[in-house]
Amino acid sequence: MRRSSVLAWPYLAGLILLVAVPAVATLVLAFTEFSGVQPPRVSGFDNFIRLAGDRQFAHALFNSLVFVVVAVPLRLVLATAVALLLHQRARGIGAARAAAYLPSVVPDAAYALLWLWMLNPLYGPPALALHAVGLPAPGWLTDPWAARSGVVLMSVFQIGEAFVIALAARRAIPHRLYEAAAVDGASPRYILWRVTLPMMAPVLALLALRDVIYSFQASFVPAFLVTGGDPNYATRFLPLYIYEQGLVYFRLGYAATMTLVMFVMTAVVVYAQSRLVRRWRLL
Amino acid sequence: MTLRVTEAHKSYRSRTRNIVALKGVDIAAAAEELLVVVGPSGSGKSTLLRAVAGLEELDSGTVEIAGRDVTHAAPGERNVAMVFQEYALYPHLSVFENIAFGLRARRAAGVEEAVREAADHLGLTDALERRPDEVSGGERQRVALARALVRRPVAFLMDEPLSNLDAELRLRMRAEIRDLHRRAGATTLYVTHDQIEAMTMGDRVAVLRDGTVEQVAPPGELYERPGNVFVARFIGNPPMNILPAGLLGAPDGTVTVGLRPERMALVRTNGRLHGRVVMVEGTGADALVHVDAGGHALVVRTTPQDAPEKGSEAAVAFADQDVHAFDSAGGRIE
Repeated sequence: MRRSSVLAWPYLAGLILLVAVPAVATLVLAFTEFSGVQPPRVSGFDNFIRLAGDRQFAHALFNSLVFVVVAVPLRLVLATAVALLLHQRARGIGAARAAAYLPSVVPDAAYALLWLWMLNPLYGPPALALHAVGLPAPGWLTDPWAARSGVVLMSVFQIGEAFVIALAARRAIPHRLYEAAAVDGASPRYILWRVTLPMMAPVLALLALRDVIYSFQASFVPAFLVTGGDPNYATRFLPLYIYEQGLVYFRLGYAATMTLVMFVMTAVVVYAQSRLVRRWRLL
Repeated sequence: MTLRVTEAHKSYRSRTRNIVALKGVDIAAAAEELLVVVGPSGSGKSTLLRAVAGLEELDSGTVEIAGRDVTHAAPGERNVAMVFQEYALYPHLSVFENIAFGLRARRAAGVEEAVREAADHLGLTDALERRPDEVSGGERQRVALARALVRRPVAFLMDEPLSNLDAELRLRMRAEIRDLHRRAGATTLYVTHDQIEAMTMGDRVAVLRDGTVEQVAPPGELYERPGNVFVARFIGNPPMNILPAGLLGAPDGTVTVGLRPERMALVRTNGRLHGRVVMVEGTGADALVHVDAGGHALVVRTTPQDAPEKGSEAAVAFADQDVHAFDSAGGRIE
């Protein structure tokens, strides 16, 4: 064995302990009934059959899919737009870039608490501003769709990583191409659609794939801390429902089944996306 | 004149110093003329070309294209096409779409036919569906030319378009560009640092140094009657020998004289300059004989068969009409 492989050991140890072992345990537990108190009991496909008829699971799945379908494109468009806006060298651009990245470095719990205040229908700043001009504030935490929008809204500010990657992709496009397009008389809009976005497309496609995976999981903290899964279970996303089943009601086998299903679903969506991306010859 | 630059001044400010790229440049190219701008690195030739394209704004001076003052016009409004040194092809688009780019951007009609015709001219028909990274360096160069050609502009601007090609391909593309220029009949401003390229391609050649035009003349005149010492040495390879006038007993006012290595001969008798051979360089076809003539270095071009031994005595002969005389400022004396 080469000596350099020694460097990989700590990483491998972490990978095995924190990823591989829990993954295998989840896979095994999915076929058991396990409360955490008594030893697991093999139950075959019972959990899967129960899952198929679980309307609350279907609702949570729907919530998660809505979140992914709305939040991923929004986050991607916003990250790209901010990157295109801030890619040029100009006075104060460093501060603007830092501001765009900043919400991503705030710890999730602190960020969620901040939004709990922001979304308060009585004394949250957006509500106060709307009241000041005589407009009604949306019931962020009382109306189901307003609550879902609220969680999406929270997520669209945490685009720091996607922004930095999109910024790097934009800056990697040779300046000569823009000069050639300028001499050819192309309008800024034509250049955006014909040069900039297609040239950034492989990176944007990767970001989309990554964001889908992230979004299936990222709804946990806001749902747990800001909305508590309500109103009327509108923000009970899959991760929160799995958490409740596993760690509130101690149905660990059932929670493992749902985790497995969520994993397979994420894999299917990512696979479908990657096929599309290949078809368009983006990667 | 189709293309005229008058009194062009341009300077850049870097953090540490001010770089003056153009110091009052005047050039003009006639309709259908291929005007080559040649000069060493940093002479301002690329800045000049970019100013004509509209990619650089001049500090002062004017640019006129087809009788219209375009000094402040956007690049796309100047009706010029540019071929860049690194081709600047769009890597995600097919060769066809690369050629069509300018036409589509302007919503021109007949894109398909125009692109196919240009591709046919340049032998790119089989490569149309491929992407730039799937074609050879020479083909990429042709795509860049086709992209310019297809727009039918008033003027072509070419920024060292052959410098990324190997020697053989460069030779072939030189002829192709000349041919293309003749067929397209558009005024062409061609920038290069390679004096051979300048001499073989230009109808006229403008020699630039430090942001100033040293001389504009047809290649033959540039070689036979260089306007000053800089042009004399820049044009021709190996460069012209510049010697103190006293060595030859030249007329009054002459400070230096110039002799081209290929216009001198090594002789046994009646030599006009005498010295010792310090080095002989063989290039295959020729031999370059380096002679030390009383402390002054000079190079004589001869055949390998006639090349003397290193260290031997050398007598150099030349005709009076081949002697170029220059004054104290380096200017030519007729």
